[in-house]
Amino acid sequence: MGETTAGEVELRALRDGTLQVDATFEPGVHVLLGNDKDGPPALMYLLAGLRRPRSGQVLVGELPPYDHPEIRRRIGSLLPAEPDPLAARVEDAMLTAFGLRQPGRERELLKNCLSQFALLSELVTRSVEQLSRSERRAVSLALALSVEAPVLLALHSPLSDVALPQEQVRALIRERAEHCPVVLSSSDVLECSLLNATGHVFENGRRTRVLAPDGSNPGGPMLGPRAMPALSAQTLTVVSPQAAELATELLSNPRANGVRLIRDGEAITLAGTGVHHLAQLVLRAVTSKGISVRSIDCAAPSLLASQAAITGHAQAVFDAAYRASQQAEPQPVIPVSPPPPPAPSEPAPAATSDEPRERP
Amino acid sequence: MTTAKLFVAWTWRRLGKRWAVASLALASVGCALGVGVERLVNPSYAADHALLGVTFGLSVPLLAWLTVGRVFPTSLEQSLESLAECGADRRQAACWAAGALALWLAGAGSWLGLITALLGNYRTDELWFDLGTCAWVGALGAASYGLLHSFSTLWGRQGRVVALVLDWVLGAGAGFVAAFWPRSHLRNLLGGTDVLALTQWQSAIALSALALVCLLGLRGRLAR
Repeated sequence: MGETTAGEVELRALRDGTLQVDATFEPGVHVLLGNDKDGPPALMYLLAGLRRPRSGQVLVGELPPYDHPEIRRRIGSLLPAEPDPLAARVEDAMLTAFGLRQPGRERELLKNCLSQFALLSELVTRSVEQLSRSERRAVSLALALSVEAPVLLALHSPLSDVALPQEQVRALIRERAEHCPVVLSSSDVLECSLLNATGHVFENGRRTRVLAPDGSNPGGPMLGPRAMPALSAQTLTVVSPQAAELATELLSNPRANGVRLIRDGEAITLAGTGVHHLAQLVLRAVTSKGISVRSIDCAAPSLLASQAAITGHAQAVFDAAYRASQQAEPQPVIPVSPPPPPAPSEPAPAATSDEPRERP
Repeated sequence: MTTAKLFVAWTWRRLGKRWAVASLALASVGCALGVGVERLVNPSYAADHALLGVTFGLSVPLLAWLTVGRVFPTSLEQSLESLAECGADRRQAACWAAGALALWLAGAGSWLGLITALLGNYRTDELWFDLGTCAWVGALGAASYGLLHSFSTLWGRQGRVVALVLDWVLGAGAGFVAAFWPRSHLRNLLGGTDVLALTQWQSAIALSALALVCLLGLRGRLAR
């Protein structure tokens, strides 16, 4: 066990369920990219020291957290499943959590935590059962980020469904990452660039690729077909000469909650939970405001993404053509007279009858 | 707040004041009804039969089983997950929680023994002696049941069910195998058939040893 240095997290020949990982996480932000069944959530429990791996080792600063409570005290974690609350009231639960980590200093730590996260001041007086899921996760995340002298932060999707300002969370994650590894799981590849993080693509429990913080891909095996959608199927790039107007319209749509929007000149990149949803948002904005669109692209070569891109593009082109026809010089309205009644002739054949007609 | 206090407070919160009171009230009603039936059938031995039957044969083991299940609904390790996540030592947490449960169950067992003796021995000369005996036997028996079920929770819900069934089946005997289950010693302490020809004091010591072994086993098998 002498190879791992303090401040490092090592997964040594780790085998647990479908997980098969050998990796070292140095101080910095590490984003585990992949779907739930690909292993990142299971890895969170192992990193937090709550599960013992079937074989191999998880070493945090040379020691396995599962057997060392003194290491767990310095690991901040946000787990996929909501843990049982430690007390009925939020304040008591937070005091208990701080008291377990730093006995005797719980009041001071709670005060510091509340001063850092303004939203929590409103929540502490409430019962845990009254909190929504995002509020509970906000409390858990605040507790994790408030761990003193952490050796590891293991955070499951800390930037989604959490009632805390995302920018503040990102800033705190970047700050903590200077001293210890911050391992977070996400299905959004954009988090890597936003957090200047190393991306670890997981597929079927194996790490199939590592994405460097600068965006380069230093070797490693090629991406498998299932990891690809996790990387890019949830982004949609729209190029429009009225990009500013489009961005404003998109942001004003309440259905765009949780969708990330990055504008670069005429290009707007949207990232969200489903590319179909993103395409619908763009179409709604385009059609309601008459915004012209040059192209809609989806980077992932998956069937779903291609369908969405083609549908979105076709709809946009159709709408643009329709608007153009509407803006054209209006033609004088010519009343249309009803068509003359058909001249009496032979009675029409009975449409539903197969019997031979009788001639008069 | 010391860590021990936190563990005890956590246990009490998991148990729930309302649930604890309601379950004890229900068990008390069950014991009272059992005594009532025994008094109708055989008034002379109503207390003895009720103590051996409905109170320490049924109510106390079931109450202990349900109470432990309430605090540790899944396996012991999983139940302690929220504490372990904050850096708590699982062994310490389990010992304090099981100890707190045993204490609560000792009080409950004592109470159930008292009301059974009181209702069954109505207007007899040995009432005070019986009350004292029932109180300490009830406390010891219920506490040992609490620790046995806490220990069996190491193997999850199934482990607890197996312990309950084995106690009922194997503890009913008087041979070597029965000596490992609280039921046989409780029966001996209450004046029933002895087990391995042990005296009542020896059975009391055996019951205490059984509880201690469960506590130590629980501590030894859990990861820190």
